[in-house]
Amino acid sequence: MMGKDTVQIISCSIFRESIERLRHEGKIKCLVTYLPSMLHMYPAKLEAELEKEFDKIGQDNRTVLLYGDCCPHMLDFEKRRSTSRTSGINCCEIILGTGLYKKMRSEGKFFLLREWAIRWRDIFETELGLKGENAISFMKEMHTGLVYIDEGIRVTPLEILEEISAYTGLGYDILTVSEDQLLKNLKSAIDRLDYDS
Amino acid sequence: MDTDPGKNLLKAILEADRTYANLIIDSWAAAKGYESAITDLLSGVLEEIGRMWDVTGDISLSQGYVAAKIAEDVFAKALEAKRMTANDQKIIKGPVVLGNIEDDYHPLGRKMVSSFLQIAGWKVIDLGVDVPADIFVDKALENGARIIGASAMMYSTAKNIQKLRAELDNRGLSGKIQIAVGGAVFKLRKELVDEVAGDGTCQSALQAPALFEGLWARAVSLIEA
Repeated sequence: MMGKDTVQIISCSIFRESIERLRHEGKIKCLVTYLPSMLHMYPAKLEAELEKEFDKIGQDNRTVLLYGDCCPHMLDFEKRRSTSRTSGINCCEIILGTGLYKKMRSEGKFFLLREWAIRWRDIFETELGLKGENAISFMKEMHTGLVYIDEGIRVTPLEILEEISAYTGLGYDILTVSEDQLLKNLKSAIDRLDYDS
Repeated sequence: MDTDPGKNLLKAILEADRTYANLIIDSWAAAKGYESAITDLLSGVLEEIGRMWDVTGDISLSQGYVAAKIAEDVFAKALEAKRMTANDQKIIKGPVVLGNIEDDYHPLGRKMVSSFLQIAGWKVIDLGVDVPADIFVDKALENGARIIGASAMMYSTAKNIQKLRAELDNRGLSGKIQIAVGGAVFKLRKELVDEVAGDGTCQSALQAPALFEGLWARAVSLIEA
């Protein structure tokens, strides 16, 4: 049973392992619901799933959306009563912070997070339809290199990164990050809830 | 395999097979020339893809990308075959300025618009991603562009197009320079064109030439009025 002081986080599953570690370490004490990260590919479905979660939570409870601007009406969800959202236009900016994210995007980097990296064939080949030379041409035209964001929870999947590198024709770097930025971002969103209520 | 080159080209694009698509076009051009390949073959196929895009929305990123790349390929070959003369240059339309608005780093849609505009004869000055409003306007003035095409994928970045409108207003250029807006979020938030004070949009990159024709005519009529 939720009370008025409880904060419910609705999160993309891309953050699951980091958030669970933060909860395990006692750094956040919130209820968390995870929605599949693949919904990112289907904005209308993501909106429908978010709507369902809001219905379950009810209007009187405090909700933090651990999401970027991942669907066309995300900012409308954020405007709802007792709701706030983490800062950042996508999961990478939420984890890296605005300065580093913008610097690397300006350099043309393409980010890989573990959950998507291990499912890269589903995303690139099945969802986006990019195959063979077309994939290399596309990725090289849009990006200068890959950056795997290593959140320090699991062993870096080097074999998979090699496969993605061969598939895209782009070299990769591994960027090790701490959970500090994510935690700071999340706490800030919770503080905004307190301020608004 | 079908004997109709149009059907085969459509199939190649839908299968994102750029190599085979180019073979079909090259084969057509060997007999009839690249200009004919554009007007008599590719245009019809692109129209069909545009229809599929609008009606069913069932065009993948890869298919859209391949369609744009094929348009680029055939356009380049047509130019080369034609070895454009100074006289030919006069038929080029524009110029127009394109870019992703400040904070937006998603270039695909913009690049596709650029490809389809160029194949329709427009001179495109592409400013890339994360372009601030003042740079858009400076470059438009510098080049005599009457249209700025601003692309944004997300709502939060699309709102930065309001800065472009403010910049044009502040310099007394609204109307004289038209703002074309586009990007994924505009398809799903129809009201956004008005919210960011855009002058027009279209449902797909394939429709960009028609949109730009209309906006250019409007800008010219306002300048002459």
